[in-house]
Amino acid sequence: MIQNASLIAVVCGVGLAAAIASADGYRPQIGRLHPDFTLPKLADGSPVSLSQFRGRKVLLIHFASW
Amino acid sequence: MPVWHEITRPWVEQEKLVVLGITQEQHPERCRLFAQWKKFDWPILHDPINVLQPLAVPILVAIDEHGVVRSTRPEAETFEAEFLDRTFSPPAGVAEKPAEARLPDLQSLRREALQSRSAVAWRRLGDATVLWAPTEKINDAIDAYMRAVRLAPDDGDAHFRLGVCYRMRYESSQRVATDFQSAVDQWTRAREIEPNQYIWRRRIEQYGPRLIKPYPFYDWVSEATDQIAARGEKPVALRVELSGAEIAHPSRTFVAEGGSVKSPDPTGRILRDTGRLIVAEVAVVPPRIKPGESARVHVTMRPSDAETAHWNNEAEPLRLWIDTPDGWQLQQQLLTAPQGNKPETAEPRHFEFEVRAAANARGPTQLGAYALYYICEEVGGMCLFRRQDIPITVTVDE
Repeated sequence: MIQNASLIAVVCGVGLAAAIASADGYRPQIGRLHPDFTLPKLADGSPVSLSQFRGRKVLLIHFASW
Repeated sequence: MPVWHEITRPWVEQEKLVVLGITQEQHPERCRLFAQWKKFDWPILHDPINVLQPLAVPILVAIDEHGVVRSTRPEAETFEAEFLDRTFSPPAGVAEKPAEARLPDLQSLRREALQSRSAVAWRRLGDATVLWAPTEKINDAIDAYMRAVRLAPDDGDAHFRLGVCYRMRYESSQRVATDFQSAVDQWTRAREIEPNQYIWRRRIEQYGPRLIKPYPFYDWVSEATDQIAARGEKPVALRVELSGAEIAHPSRTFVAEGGSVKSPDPTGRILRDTGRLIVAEVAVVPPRIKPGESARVHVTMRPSDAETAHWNNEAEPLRLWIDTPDGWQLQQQLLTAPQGNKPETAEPRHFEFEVRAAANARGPTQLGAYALYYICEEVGGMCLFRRQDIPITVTVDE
């Protein structure tokens, strides 16, 4: 996770951290754009967005260790 | 999922595919240990608050080069031919190079929440705060979610995320003694609002009794650690120790240990510590049960920082005695905590036990619990033998 609050104060932008889903939960629709999102990378907390892989095919795997 | 890891490896190496993991667990280092063990070498993102809102895992989604979803149930046998080797047409009006992602501006989100006074805006502020400043701004995240649930009491997402924040704070130096129970209470409320949300349900089961567990959750950790060390690597260190509940195996029957034990202070004559030297924290999971159901009780005893108190490890160990009303069952009536490895130590000590409500139990029921311990007021200072009565309330709903 990012430990430095000042980074957030410096970097301004639209809140992309959240809000891709509807009230029905996560339901990606075949043939529709997958909503973009930005989440922290597990390894170092840096932000990663789905959209930065545009131009590449992506396999998204939602998982837990249990 | 390890199957997909193996299948996709050559395609990733050939740059035909990007594999992107998203994990839904609270503790990032546990996920990192799992990834290290399984040799996952693709980027993994952390979604501890379920901001993407999957109801359960695993979920696989194949997304084409234009960002369009092509499959939500990809098959390993046909993945290459039907997805990887195809060229898809771009949908109309979609930018091929979207703007670069930027971190949210917390000040701006806060202004928006204050001006709009909307639950969604407060929740959004809570999301951004806990995702991008979880350590230093955890109290701000809790405040934002509390405002969200005050404005929208049936917002299950806000309740769940508030619970995540309480648990995060409980595991931090900013801990409040009631944080663990508050986390469980919020997760329980969230589950009541949306009973089909299995990610939320798992957080309660993770700390709950064996009767409601679907699997042990973290019993893989010791095996993973051993195997990683055997490979000559240093395993990712866990910041938060695993609780007994997180490694206990599920059980379909309530097991009460036999044998008769006697109360170590039946007449109650041992002098009381009312929390000055040792602070007791209690969490009951789940917070409410039905008659005949069981709960897991977590009791943590922490030497008081204010008093610089230390356990005296040269005397008898810390013990916890529990009494229950007639008809209730206990896994164990007398528990003993391990001693420290030096004559005087100040680590928190944990007890966990399970209790099953009587078939005719109703309403809040107090268990008669107390701890006995040898404690020194400071290193080299006066050592005392004390008892602390610990209120534990299990609520039984109709």
